[in-house]
Amino acid sequence: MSDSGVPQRFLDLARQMRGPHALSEAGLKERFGDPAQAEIKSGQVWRARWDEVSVLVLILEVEAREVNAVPVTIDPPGEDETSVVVDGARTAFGVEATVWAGLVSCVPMRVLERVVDAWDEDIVGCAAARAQGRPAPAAAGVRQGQMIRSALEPDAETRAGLADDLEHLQHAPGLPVQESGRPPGTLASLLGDRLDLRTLCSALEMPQPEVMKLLRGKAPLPADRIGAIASATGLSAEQIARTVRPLPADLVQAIEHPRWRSVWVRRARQLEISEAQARLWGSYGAFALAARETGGGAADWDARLRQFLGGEDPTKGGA
Amino acid sequence: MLLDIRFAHQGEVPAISVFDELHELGCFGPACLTLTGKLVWQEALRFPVLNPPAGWQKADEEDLLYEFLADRLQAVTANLLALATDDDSVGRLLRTSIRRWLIDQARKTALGSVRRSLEEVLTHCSAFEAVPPDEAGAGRWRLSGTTVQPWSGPPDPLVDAAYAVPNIKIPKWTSETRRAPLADRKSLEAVIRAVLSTAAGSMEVAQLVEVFIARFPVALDPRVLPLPDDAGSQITASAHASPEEIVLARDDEAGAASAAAHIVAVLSPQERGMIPYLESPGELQAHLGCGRSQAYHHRTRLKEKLQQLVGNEDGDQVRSVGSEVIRLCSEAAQTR
Repeated sequence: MSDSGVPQRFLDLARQMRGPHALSEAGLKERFGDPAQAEIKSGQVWRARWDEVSVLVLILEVEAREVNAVPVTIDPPGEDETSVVVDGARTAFGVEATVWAGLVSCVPMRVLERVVDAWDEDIVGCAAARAQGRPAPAAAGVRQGQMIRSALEPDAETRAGLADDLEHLQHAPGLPVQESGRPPGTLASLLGDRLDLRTLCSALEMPQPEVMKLLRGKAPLPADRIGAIASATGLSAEQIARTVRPLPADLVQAIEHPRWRSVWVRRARQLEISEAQARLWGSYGAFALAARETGGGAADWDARLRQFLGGEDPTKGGA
Repeated sequence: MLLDIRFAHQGEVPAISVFDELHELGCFGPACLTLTGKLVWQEALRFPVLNPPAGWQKADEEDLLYEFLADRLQAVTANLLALATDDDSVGRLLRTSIRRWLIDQARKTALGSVRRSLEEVLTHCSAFEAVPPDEAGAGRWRLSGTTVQPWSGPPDPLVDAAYAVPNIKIPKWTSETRRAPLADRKSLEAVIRAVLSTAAGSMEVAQLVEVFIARFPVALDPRVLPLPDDAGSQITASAHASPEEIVLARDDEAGAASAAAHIVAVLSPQERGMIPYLESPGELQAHLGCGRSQAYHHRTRLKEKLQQLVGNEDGDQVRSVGSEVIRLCSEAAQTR
């Protein structure tokens, strides 16, 4: 019996099954450097998370604000006919991992949290081929998954759960983005039949004439009121913000990059707000700061963000 | 009965975050092991088929935990290191791993039962014979009077042949029976005959078992009880009469009603609750409180299970039994 009261044979067994060093904090930094400097590349395996949903995803392609990715599972074991199963010797996991290629999805960059592995091109090629419905080329340590014959098989439930998790990640609230050639709608048109002026005035603690200006887009809506309108109307903060003052695409791209993720997580915890609200607050803050300053040329939004956040280092705390 | 796995002097386990412990040690330490023991026990209570004959003793609980750790800890540790972000997520991911492992254990116990059923039929039915020791494939099984070679190949055509056998009858059983029967003896004989004919070769029992579990996947489906709100406490029977009890109390002589009651008895409480919503995917999703894909999966799964439990006898009979199952479960839902 150990000092902890846990039988020694359990502790001995656990020590024999130590996790790979490559997945420890030190191991991740050795392989991928500072998380604040992380670059998203094809072949990387990231932990994607929103709310309580966490999924590992293998990145196949990188777009401006999203990645084309396939989910990867380590445990519980499971596979289907569209998946490829990768031997533990070929990954940092040290145990078999399943790439559910049939569940290939566009995953927004804002849910990527931490890169945990990087796979060789031949494995990525297998996953990409299966994702496109083609046979996987031969690769060492990679085999095709076995068919799920019946909905009563446990793997069918695993697959359904993964599909829901991916859908949840896809619906993680984003930021309102300026769309070229398309003026933003008004808050009044967005609310439509939902418009309850009295409730809105009460929620905003503003007189009716001022609220009417907001509704018609005649007055700018302060960023800190977006949450109040969202709560009062049941719409998302992103929808509301888009009607008032959408953000430049470059800013949104910078702020949704995982290098800033730990900052929003930490801010959300400090201010007891959601991560989405913390990010919205940061983005409008940086945007307002930029608007007050003059100067030509393209804005360095990462620098603006650092300036707005008072030099906060995104590598401190967080994930 | 113990409420969870309690190691001696459990109070001495340091109050450290399981997430921090995992990352500091790189492996499970006392806190992670204690949490795992608690979750294993909570989840094991949901699988009556895993109950030891003499009930759960402390040694059984520790053995179950040790088996889980020996079997899955390597993968579970890697999974948690890669995916968990805090204590809550460690708990959620660990519970998922444990539940799935227990399902696999329950399915393994059912595999032995399927094998015994097939061996019983093969041994006592004159339509089949074992290949003699001096012939190729000695010890395998073949259709009597044939001299076929050992079969090998993908099982798919054999599974198709098994599905094509008409009038599969599912015998009645009682709620005391833990496992749903495969089919009645005549049906099993007919299916084995169809499979061996299609194989045109002799087969090992294990090969036949593989085909049968593909044809009758419900045979491996464990009965899973819901997790009580007070997870870890003893699960007790519902105070409400079960749908089976309701129907038996009526002394209904109709065959369909009787068959339906037996089918309902085999369903888990969650499955019974889903039946009234089977044709309303949106309502089913709301009822289960899960995502769209999972709701669709649960619906497909339950339909397949019902189809298997009802069998493929005369169409009118199947429809009558199916309707009665829906009526019973809907009534039970309304009484709650």
